[in-house]
Amino acid sequence: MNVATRLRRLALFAVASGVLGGVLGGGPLASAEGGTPVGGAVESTLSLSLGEPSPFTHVRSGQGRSEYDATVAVEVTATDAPVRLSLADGEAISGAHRGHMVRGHSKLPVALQAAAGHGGFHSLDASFDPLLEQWAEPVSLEGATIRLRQEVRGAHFPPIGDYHKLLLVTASAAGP
Amino acid sequence: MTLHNISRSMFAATLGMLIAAGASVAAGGGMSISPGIVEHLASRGSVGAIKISNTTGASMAVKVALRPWLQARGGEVSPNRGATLGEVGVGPRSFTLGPNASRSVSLSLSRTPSQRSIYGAVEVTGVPSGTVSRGLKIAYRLVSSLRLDPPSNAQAFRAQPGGLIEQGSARHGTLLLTVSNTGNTIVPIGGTAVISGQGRSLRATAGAKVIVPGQTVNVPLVQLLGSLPAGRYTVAVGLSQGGHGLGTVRRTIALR
Repeated sequence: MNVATRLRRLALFAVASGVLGGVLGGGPLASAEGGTPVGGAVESTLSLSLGEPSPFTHVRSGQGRSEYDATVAVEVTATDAPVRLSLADGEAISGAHRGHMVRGHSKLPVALQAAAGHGGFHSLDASFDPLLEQWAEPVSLEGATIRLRQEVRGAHFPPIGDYHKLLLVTASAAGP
Repeated sequence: MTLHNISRSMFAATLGMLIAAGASVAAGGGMSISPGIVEHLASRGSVGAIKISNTTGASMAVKVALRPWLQARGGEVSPNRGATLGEVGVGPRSFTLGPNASRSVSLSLSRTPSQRSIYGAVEVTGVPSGTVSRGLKIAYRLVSSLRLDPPSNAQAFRAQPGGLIEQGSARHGTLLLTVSNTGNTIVPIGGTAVISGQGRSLRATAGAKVIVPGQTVNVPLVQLLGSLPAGRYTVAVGLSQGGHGLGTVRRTIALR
């Protein structure tokens, strides 16, 4: 965990415990200087914020195939650990279209892949939703970048932008 | 200015910078649910409520589903998206949540479940308004835990041991025991293992695993790390769950 992440966690705790109003609002500080204990209960919660996905950009070609990459910025807050970040197909739970970008009744032959951080890519057509990131402890405003990759083989497909897919960015907390 | 005040000023400045730095994602808001875990006795009537909040500037089509867990042999869980927990009522199951709005969803049991407990996932999906027919559309999915526990006098601590598995390289891998939770609690199942043979004996504490009732998981017994020579061994595993002994199982294994 880097310094910025630690500071952001501290900031969230400050918000939750009511310290922030006094600090930023320039309110009376005497009670803090007087040694009043600072603390409070943080409500059990799970929260997810998403940035706009970047458009697919062509990253490489060779041996009859091309790769296109896109990214999505994610921020997770969870008071119950472990915390997991995964990705699920929002249109097809099972079947041949699961994990594949579609256009009408046709689909790209190769499934979408996803990764986060330094992790490797996972195919979205697997029976288990790929686990992209996990944290053993509660997190607040923990950022991650999901990388999406679409491989296109051959040159006989319409532009990749003609295909579409609804993806569910999934934050899970606590396990069973 | 005292050192105390300087440090507080620095904190305020740092906080301002951090809030600004986080603006790329957080400025657009998001979706949240509270509480993160719904836990209640599995008895008829209300078993809890979830508050769902949309802090984005757009309307969201929200769906709430309660699903059984799928558990992999390694212990990882995910909601079974092809099934729902029919015994637990949800109201409402779907609705549109306006920008910066919240709504409470109630959960209830129409009858006491026959197994006296229910463990599953609360799955809340939120699809921002506006259809995208080309490219990627990103939506929210939050998964938390529903724990409807049995009353203490109806807890059943039971497990069915299966076969031994040697995972990894020969004699340096991990010994695992396949265990099914045939009881009705999610109290972790672990125990102790004694491996004997070839004039040697090795004792280890098995790592306790949460196993969803009805599911099967490989419980790690011991990492061998080359500590035993090749040969045939007897493995005696005493399983336990929350301090309750579940009996001892004996298996044999040949280490090559």
